[in-house]
Amino acid sequence: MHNPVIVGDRVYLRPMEEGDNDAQARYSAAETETMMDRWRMPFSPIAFEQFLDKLYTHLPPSDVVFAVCLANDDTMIGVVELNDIDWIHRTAETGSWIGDANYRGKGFGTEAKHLLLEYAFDHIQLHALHAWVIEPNTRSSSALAKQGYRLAGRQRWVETRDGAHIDALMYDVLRDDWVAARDTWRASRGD
Amino acid sequence: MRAVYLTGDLIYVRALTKEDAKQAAAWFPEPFPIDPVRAERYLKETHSDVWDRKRRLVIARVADHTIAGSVSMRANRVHAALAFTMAPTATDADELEADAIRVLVPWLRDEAEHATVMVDIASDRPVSIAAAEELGLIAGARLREHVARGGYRVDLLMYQALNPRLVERGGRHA
Repeated sequence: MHNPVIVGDRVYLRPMEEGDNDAQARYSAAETETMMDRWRMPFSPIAFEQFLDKLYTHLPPSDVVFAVCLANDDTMIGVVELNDIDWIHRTAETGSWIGDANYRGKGFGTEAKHLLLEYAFDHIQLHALHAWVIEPNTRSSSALAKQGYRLAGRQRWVETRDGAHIDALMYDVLRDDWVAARDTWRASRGD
Repeated sequence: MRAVYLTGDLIYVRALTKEDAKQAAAWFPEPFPIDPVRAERYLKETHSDVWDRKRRLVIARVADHTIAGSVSMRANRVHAALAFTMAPTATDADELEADAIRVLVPWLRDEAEHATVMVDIASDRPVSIAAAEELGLIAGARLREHVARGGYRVDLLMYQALNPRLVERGGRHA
């Protein structure tokens, strides 16, 4: 494994580094999921390179972005991240993206997200996290439930589809919620 | 510098000026000490683009013009979001924040016609909550234990105002 910060069975998380910009640009160009409109954009690797340059320049950071890598061959398959970290209130927004569609729906994203929450709650002692999904994105909603997120409400009219505004569903998770969900997830794998 | 269209009973909202660097403890959006030199640098950096749609405005008291806090305003053509930072010495922060909500939300929703205006309010701010609800804002989401106070935590309520003209059309553009 290359520069791991937190390690699971099939994936590990490492800091983003030079070269990841090319993978991000390549994955975003190949995005097939229309709900992923943040990523379904022809991003330049130059832009990602500059994003990476700025990523770790301020400590403590307001954002933490990890590359999700396969444990068996170090291939970077996506990213998980903490955004808008509030070091006073100890909260953050979470996000994840398995860019390589070949690894979606196979549990890699679930494991990566559990590692991210372990980092958030147990390594840097955040207290509460939140996330949002566009309402019709049932895949993302069920993915959040697997990490113990609970529905916190909705934000109205955050996006536009079919000529009308549509809502985002807000979720939050505390450490106890996540630990219970992780235990259930581990039991389902026979750990 | 008072904006005549952003004046309430207790407070008015105005742009930041160079002189405010000397009073940064009252408006700077971090709880850490900041000296006037660094505050002036921050003011220059955050005002480098006059058309920037993300800006911080001062909340000043009508009675004596002292700075009571600030509000961060992020707005694109569709959405606007407000977040308040009240001065650490403002014991009446809830009342002042409520007055700022009464001033800012109608300006953004009814005059600038943003589709939505978001205001995050801590659940231990009853006056601000009442002001938001009197204006028709709805608490769309409640994030548990997202606000730290001295020795305890409270929830964060995500209030939202919707443009009534769009509500009439079920969220559809004309």
